[in-house]
Amino acid sequence: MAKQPILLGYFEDPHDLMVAGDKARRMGYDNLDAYMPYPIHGIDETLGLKKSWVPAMAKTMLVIGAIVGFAFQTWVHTTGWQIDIGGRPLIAWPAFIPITFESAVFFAGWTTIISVVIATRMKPAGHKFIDRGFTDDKLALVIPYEEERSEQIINFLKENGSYEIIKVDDY
Amino acid sequence: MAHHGHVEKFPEDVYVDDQGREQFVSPDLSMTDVTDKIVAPLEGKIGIGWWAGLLISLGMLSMLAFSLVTQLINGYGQTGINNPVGWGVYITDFVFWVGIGHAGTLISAILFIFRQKWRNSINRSAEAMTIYAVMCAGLFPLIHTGRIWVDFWLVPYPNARELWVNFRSPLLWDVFAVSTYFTVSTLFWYQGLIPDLATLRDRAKTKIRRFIYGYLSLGWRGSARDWHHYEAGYAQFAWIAAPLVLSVHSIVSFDFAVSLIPGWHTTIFPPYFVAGAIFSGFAMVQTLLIITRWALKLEDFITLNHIELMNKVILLTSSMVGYAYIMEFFMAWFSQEQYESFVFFQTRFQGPYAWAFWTMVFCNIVSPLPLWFKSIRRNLLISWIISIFINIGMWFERFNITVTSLHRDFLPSAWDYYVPTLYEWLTTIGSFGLFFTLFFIFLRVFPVVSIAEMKAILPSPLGNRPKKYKTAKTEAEEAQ
Repeated sequence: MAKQPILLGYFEDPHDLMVAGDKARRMGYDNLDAYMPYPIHGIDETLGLKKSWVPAMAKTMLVIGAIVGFAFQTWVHTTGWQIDIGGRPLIAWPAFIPITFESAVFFAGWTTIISVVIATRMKPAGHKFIDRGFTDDKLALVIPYEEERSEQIINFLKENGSYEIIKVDDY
Repeated sequence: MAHHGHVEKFPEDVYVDDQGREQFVSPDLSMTDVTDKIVAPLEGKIGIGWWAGLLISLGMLSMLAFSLVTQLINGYGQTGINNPVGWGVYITDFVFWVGIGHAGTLISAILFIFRQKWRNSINRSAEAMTIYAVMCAGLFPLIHTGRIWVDFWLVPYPNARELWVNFRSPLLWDVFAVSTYFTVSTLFWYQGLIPDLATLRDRAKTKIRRFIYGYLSLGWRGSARDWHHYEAGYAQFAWIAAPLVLSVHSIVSFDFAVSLIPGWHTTIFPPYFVAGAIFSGFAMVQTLLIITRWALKLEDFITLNHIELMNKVILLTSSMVGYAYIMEFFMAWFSQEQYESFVFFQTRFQGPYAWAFWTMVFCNIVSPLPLWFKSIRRNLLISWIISIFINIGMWFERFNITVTSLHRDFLPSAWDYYVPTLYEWLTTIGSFGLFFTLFFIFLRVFPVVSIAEMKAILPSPLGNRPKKYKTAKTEAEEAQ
């Protein structure tokens, strides 16, 4: 899939990156991104990122996991293999609570990690990396490259304290 | 401890930022320093100490292999289990190891929810301990069933005889609780590792290292969008792991509390077990981290403040456990229930297992008392010794609960005394071998402290900035 080229402005200070990101958003640049070795607090709002869908997915599966867990136990004791223990009810719901809970958590846990992997498009191999320093100490603001506005974007990054600006076509 | 006289970077002066908030990393460190220091033990030469530790651990692990093989040949007769004491050292070990695991999840999930920054430097190693401890724990019920080769019957699966497991049994709840706990802790831990594995990938000098870490880090790039989903997922994990950790030891306590044995059948068990689990878990974290921080030179990240804060948690949970002990005796007296009173006032205080009871009381209640003093909480040697006492005491607590309630059956003619055999001790020592072997391998393979999370709490990511960040000491000097 061909991607839109991007302009990368390197910053030294996370604070400067945040300020520049905030200005860029206000100036109307879309699809902003950044590269950083740790999650800078509040950068998602600064860059105008949409709320992540991961927690909602996990919570949905939490409920489904609980339903599946309870239903399975009920099925086993009413249909699968009825055991009459001293005339006690077959659907002994209080006794089903621990496994219902564990089942919910099990579903939600797997859903969370799988969702994160899907949302961040992680895969075991076949990646291209722009700069190996992004997992060490380098920070960069990403603004999508536009032919007619390129001059303007580069000037904007320079004015806001970027010490190096590069264009990346393939990433 | 050789490092006792070591000069500490943070003796008394606690770093605070310009808004007066305490900092848990030295402001002298830049982001690159953090990466270099944490990765150093993984990239440098292997010290002789590491080899020695690994070899000793492997030696202990071989005892486990030996006792497991002999049990396959001899059967359950090689243990000291008798009638009425059907639960012995294996169940004690099981509860002990599950408990050890609890500190890791408490640190990684519950302290995360409470936004405790000091968790960032200890969560990785504590979570690793959780996973290894749960592996050790899981081993024991499987051995305890006696017929290891049919342990898969514990899992509900469609079979030709159309049999299903009994979901109304607390022992089955355990199967689900422990396996879910293991799975979710491992996933949570792995997610936390991904950015650090990417750091290792990007630093890798050999092709094979780059391939392995590259594969494991799933091509992590560290873009803001990736972090955005990552953080949401991490917080989600914390919110499901927090109730999970409370549920696991509650369910373990149900193994006892749901039965009708005097001394077991009490409603105090779930909170009492959870407090005990956190208590023993923190003691184990303390035991390992005091040595690890010295051996791997991690004093910049695991500071004396961390040791002190962990000691405070130990002190609090010690008090909770002590309260539970007293409450058990109070209820035995208050209920005027003759069997309950007999267990507590005849068999625990005095009886043939009184030595186990008093060992437990001394180790869990008396030995942590010096921690009320700040100077002791910040003393590495004494903290370490106390943590060892607690490890021993918490093992005896489980032994005490399991064995003393059983050895005096309802009919005096059935009374008996249980002595663990050599094979049971070999299995126990062997489980420590498994735990330490895994821990030593962990020290060489994964970053012991979370690199990305340390960067997130750096007072000044660019390195030393004396103007902005002051120590309490310099502030006091300025005020004069």
